[in-house]
Amino acid sequence: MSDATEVETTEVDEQPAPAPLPESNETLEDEELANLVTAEEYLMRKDVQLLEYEKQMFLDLVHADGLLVAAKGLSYERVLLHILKVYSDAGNLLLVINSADWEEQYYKSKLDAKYVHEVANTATERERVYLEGGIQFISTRILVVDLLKQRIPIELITGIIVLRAHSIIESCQEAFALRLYRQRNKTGFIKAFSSSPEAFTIGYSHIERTMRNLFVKQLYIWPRFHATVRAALHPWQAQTIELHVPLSARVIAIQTHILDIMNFLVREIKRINRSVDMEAVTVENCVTKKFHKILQAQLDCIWHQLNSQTKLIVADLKILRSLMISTMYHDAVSSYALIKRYRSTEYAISNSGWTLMDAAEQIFVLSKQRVYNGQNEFEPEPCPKWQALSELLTQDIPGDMSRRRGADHLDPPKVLILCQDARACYQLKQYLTQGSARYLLQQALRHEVLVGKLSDEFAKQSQGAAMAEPATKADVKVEPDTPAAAPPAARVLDELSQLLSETDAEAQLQQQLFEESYMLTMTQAAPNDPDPNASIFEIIPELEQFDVSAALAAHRQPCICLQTFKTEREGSMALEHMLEQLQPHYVIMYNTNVTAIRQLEVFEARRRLPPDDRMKIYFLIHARTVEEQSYLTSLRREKSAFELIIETKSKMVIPEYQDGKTDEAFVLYKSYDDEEPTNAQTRQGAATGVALASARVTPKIIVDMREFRSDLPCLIHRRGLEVVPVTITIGDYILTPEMCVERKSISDLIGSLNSGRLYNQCVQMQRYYAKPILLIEFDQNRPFHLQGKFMLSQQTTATNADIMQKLQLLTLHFPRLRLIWSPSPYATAQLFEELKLGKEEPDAQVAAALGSDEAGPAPGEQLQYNNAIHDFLLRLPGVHTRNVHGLMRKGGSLRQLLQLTQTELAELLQSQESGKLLWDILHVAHLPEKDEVAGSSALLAASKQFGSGSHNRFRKAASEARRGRR
Amino acid sequence: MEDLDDDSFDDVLACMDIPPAPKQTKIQPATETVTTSSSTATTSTGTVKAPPSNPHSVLVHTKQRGNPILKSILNVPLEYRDDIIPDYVVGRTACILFLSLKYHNLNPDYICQRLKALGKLYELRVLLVQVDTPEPHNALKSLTRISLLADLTMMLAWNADEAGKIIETYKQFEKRSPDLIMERVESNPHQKLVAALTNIKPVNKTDAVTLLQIFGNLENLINASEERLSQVMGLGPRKAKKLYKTLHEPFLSK
Repeated sequence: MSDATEVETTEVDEQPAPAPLPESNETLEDEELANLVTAEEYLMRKDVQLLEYEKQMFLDLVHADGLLVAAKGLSYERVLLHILKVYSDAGNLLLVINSADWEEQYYKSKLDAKYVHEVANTATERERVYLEGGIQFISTRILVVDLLKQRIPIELITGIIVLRAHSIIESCQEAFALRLYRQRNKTGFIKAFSSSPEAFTIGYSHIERTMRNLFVKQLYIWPRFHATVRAALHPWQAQTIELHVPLSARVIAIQTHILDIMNFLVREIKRINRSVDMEAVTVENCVTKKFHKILQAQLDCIWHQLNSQTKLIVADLKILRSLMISTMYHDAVSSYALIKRYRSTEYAISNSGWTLMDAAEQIFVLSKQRVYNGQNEFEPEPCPKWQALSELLTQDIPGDMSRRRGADHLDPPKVLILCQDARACYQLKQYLTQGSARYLLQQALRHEVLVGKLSDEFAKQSQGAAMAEPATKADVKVEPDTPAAAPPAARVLDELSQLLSETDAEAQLQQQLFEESYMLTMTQAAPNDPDPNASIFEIIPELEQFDVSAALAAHRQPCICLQTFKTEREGSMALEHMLEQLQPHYVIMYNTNVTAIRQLEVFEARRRLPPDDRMKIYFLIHARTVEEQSYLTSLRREKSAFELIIETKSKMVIPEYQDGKTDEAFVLYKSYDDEEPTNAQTRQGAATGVALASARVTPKIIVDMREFRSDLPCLIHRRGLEVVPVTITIGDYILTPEMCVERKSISDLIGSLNSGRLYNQCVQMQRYYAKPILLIEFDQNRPFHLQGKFMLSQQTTATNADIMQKLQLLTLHFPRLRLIWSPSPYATAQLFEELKLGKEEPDAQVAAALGSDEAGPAPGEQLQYNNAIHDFLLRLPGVHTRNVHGLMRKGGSLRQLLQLTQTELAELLQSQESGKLLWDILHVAHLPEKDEVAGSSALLAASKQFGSGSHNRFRKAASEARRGRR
Repeated sequence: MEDLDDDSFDDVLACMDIPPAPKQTKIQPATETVTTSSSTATTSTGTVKAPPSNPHSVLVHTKQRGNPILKSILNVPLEYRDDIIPDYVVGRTACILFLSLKYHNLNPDYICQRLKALGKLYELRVLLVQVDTPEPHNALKSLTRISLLADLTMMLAWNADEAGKIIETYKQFEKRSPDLIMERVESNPHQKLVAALTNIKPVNKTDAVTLLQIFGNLENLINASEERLSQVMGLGPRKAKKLYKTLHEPFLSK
């Protein structure tokens, strides 16, 4: 019902839409329900360009809370955008969580800025902004703290939208925020989106658990093979042409050999680990993009059980995969450079032995042959797709253009070339602007591949390219970063040195300039050019600013756009954006990608053009190769993921209370916790239950604000304890007035032991709390072992032993410090609950005051030192942990120390040398300038002190100026 | 497995107080501890007074003979004695109880008896647990609770070798200063002074450098009035007050 009213209010606010879409009438099927009509009227009346299935998604989600899982490329973004638009009103408070930067940017740019509020930095400011309503894209950590502190009016939140729902696991912040929200707000909605069906196949009943964490009862599944989707996309199919580009014989041979080795290694893995489930390790999976993710999911938890040979093989499989990719997609020179690296002796002794196989030898020989000809002259073979691409651009497309439009075509052709990554994009740009020979030569120099003697043929080609360059340059405009005019003579080798210096400078430039899109144009004279290698393509500089329309307006020439499937800035929305701006006539898929293909389909279905005006899509595929196979595998994996989700949905039992709109859900959470056979302490558990029921006091734990980055506060709350967020200086968690816990993950532990931070933290804890505790928390997905953590890095057992020693030293100096070794945050939360049984509750104000300015004296210490001066003295030269006590007891105060002679100080410190050092520091001036010059570690100190040193001089000057004024 | 009754255990512990705290009082109580421990041992066993032990060796209870972890203690001498209560004594104030989880799962009462015998002796009481069961978590959790109640420091080792190394390290580090785990302070005196001054809460690094610049040495700084301090650029009345108070407060509080 609330949906209906909301929709109406927004409609009053906005102007009536210009013209309803004629198709929308079809959606008005069941008008019985009042709110249905309003939602559908929205679809009809607005200028909403939604496809049939998108409308269905919209209706589904407006009417009920739910989780929507859409296939990649079917883009729920528009649906969500319209949902956001519907709720854009000052009377609603809508929160969007778990969004990536590019998603946030995308929605913000499309929504009415009036209703979209930035998240303010200060708490009071945020409180005010929350009351203004509208839409906020908020980081979950802030949201959780605000929910706990009740800075946000929980009851007034209209709803929460969760993006990337597949990542919502029980212990994460998002789930915590949703739980806090649902506990206090029973009417607001939760709508979740995900476009990663495969993510739901990992783990045990992932989708059910996700839905439970999201508090949703409905699951909407939108695979590509959904009838509505098919019906919406099919009539507008663009014309597609598959061009099967044959690979060169050598590449095919290399591919076969790599596959052979992979096959061997996979069999080897399975032979060594008979007991372990190695289902995911197949050659087919090895060549897919997500191989390492699959492997990680499968092997991480048993990694420490695998022997070193298996680990080596897994590493080698990854290397082979990269070799495969390099052979397929990169040019001959760079892939040769890569393969050469694995031929070194160092590598040979540290791998699983595949380099000794015959097939490996063949790979080395073949990839060398791709670069050098029979006489050992430099003659790299070009990528097979290059030729095909050039033909497409120079012959097929212009030909097709004139055929289709006749002679009177006014628009120059607009072509979009899609490739997989920035590297491929750059490669194509260089190829198109420079010609293949020149590009390959450049690559050779960059990768320090020995060029030696150029073959005649190759020399001629690169010369031709060089010659052609100035000609074309005169034609259009000067490129800033192409080499200066090439020497006219045929002294190609002489040119090398010049090129080398150029490429050095250029390489640095291009390290940063691996752009994700380029725009080129074609000179009109091109088709008549006799030299096929001459570069006829030029960069349009406007694209530097990503201003496609400006570029289009400025150039009445053919326009060729190179683009990656998704970009850093805009994610996969980049393609949609580009399509809309460019409205290309032709699309060339240089690589294949499921998402991109579907985005093209959706784009075409939105345009609703007659068949003749639609895009023509060319696929450049190496048929029956790994490339094709990996594309098919990703399709198959997605399909089977959807099948699994559909099957799960059909069997899923969802309790009525799962939406959390009644109290039932939360009551059940707690009793569930009590029933859990925790440590077999049933008697205790029962006792707690009784105690809780009678006392009605929720046990609470004070948690440091900064700890909300970790999972633990969420899990503590899940166990029914109250979490009190406070900024505290000592410790992370305060369980009782006596118990203070410092939590360290393994990496934190190592870092803070090495930096000395942990020592200081322990000093503080020991000073103010009777029971200081160091909690060493392992990752639940990793083995419960100190070594296990470092499986992917090069850490050796030596550093591990070192950490253990340092930890022991810490316990020697803090005998009161207790250690807790926790296998996971779950176990920690459980232990915390048990430790609190029957203990006093901590006081947030006391905890916050401790360690800050004026704290009361520490309990339990016999001799009362003033802590601040103790710490100060301890840092002076000559004073250390053992003699500081004598000094404190007998020294009196700093002023008294000043009166003492060197010998008297030496007596106090029980050492002649220490006495001298302390006297020295008290009475002699030590200036940084002097140290900088005299310091033995001159270089290091100088570089470290440079900042403060220069600052000193400034300070000095400033203070002198002040003195002068006074 | 959890026959251990925590409440009764609490009673036992209630009569103990927290072991005397940190280093400053190390010397006297420590010697006491050793003498009491040896005297209780001698009185209870009724044997002749054992000869004084070598201060550089790890004292090993004779019952530990044959424990595989002893094989990896290579760098410190071992001395078998039956007049000590804990399994290992690695310093005047430090002892170690060794427990294998496998054994603990079979005899959960064992460790409680040992703790009762140990009473409140020693300052650093390490419970060295060898994790040798596939699912250690429940047992570890109960041990964690015991260690919190009985003031034990729990260390984990995943194999006999690691356990031996831990014992060895404790002995080797007996008198080691904490420098290894403390902030690395630069050797040059100016940097040390800056570090010392920045340790006083609101004073930051630039303030410290400016102060040293203006006052030259620590003596002048200590003798400066609060008003003079507050005139220093960037310091202001609040920081000056705190700094003055810290530098002038007596070492011992009332």
